[in-house]
Amino acid sequence: MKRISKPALVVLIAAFILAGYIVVKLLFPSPAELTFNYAARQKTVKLYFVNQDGKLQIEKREIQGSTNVSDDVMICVTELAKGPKEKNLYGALPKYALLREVYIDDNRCAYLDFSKNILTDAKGGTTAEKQLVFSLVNTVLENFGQITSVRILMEGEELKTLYGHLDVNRPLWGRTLE
Amino acid sequence: MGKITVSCLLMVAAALLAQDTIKKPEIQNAVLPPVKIFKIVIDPGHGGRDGGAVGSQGTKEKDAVLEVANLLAKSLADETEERFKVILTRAEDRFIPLEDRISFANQAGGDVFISIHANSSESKKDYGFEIYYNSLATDDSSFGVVKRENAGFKEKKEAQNVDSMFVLWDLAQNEFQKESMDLADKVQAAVEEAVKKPRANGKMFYMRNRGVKQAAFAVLRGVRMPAVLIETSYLSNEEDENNLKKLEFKERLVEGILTAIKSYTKKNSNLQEVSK
Ligand SMILES: [Zn+2]
Repeated sequence: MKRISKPALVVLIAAFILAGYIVVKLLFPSPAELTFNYAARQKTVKLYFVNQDGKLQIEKREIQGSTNVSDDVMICVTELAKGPKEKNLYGALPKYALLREVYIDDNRCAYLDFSKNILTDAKGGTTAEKQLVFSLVNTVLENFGQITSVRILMEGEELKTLYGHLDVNRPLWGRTLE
Repeated sequence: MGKITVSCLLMVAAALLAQDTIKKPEIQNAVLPPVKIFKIVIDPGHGGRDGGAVGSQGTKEKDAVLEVANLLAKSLADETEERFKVILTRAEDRFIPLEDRISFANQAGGDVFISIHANSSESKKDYGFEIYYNSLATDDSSFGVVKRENAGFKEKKEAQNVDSMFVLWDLAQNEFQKESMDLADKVQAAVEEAVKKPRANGKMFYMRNRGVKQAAFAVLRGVRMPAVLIETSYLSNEEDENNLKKLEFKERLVEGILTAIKSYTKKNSNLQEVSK
């Protein structure tokens, strides 16, 4: 029987420990890491657009994620503003709607701070306003489980209404258009 | 024997009490004026720099709803049997903030608030009229927490404390919820009735009754009287825009709204006689 040299034994033991560590880590990842190790990876988001019947309909889209939730919300909403790629779907959020900042408070409410131009040339009836609000809120809540409600701001200020109908000056938590 | 005497006495006492409660309204009724004057606040949506929705042929919501409002004001004033006092939040093409409309209506002591709008949708296929009243504060909770089938890691959304967040949303309208709903229902039925009658040329208006709905309207919030918002038609729909351009269609709308107001106020003036 060949004798194993001391250094080789140390390396072998170290290798065993490392392998064991990796196996355990892969099998039982700690919940903390799942939540906080927010990797910037490619992900599929669900965007809410309006279909021909005026109801909300999901279109899936690949986005390059960032390293934190707020930035991902920003990327997601910016994609929403670009409008649908599928035929027979309509974007409810104006193409020129510019999201300045996103922040999430202790109550897990996401504040979406739009620049003034969300109202520039904003024209629309009650239904169009509902479509805008609900496509936006549903898109955020659908893709970000850690967010429980959404508030819309303009230039950092609270906003009573977008098109002059719905009261949006409160936490919103989505609804499917009936 | 004693039992019968006691029950007899009780019955007499009950009869006296009942008589007393019956007498009261008679006395008060005599003091009341014979006909109650209902103050109807008509609120044509938008105005001035706020044009509202715009049709593909250029019809502006602010103009169309002002015409409907003025027609309604005229027909209410022309009513002989019932007495209406009409209050318009705007009678011209002027921008008036929502808060001003609300405080104006409240200060005038209106009995009914009717906001008139024209709708639009991202889908040009959407058409028809619909009647709104404000959702009960707590109704927003049922707005449907979005179902997330596959959110990576399972995590339940914390139940929002609905009460603290929304109960104060619209206390004023909560108080008139029942009346607002009743009025909305009457408008919906009467407008459908008026619009589906054949036109002067024998043809029919292509129209759809989308029913009574609830939403959180900024312009109805804080209004201290029964309040509804009428979406007359979709300017984003070609057929609807054509309708709204026609005087005949606007007259039909007004006919329906007037019928609803008359039926609502009649019911409520009767109620007042009974309850007082
Ligand atoms: Zn409007």
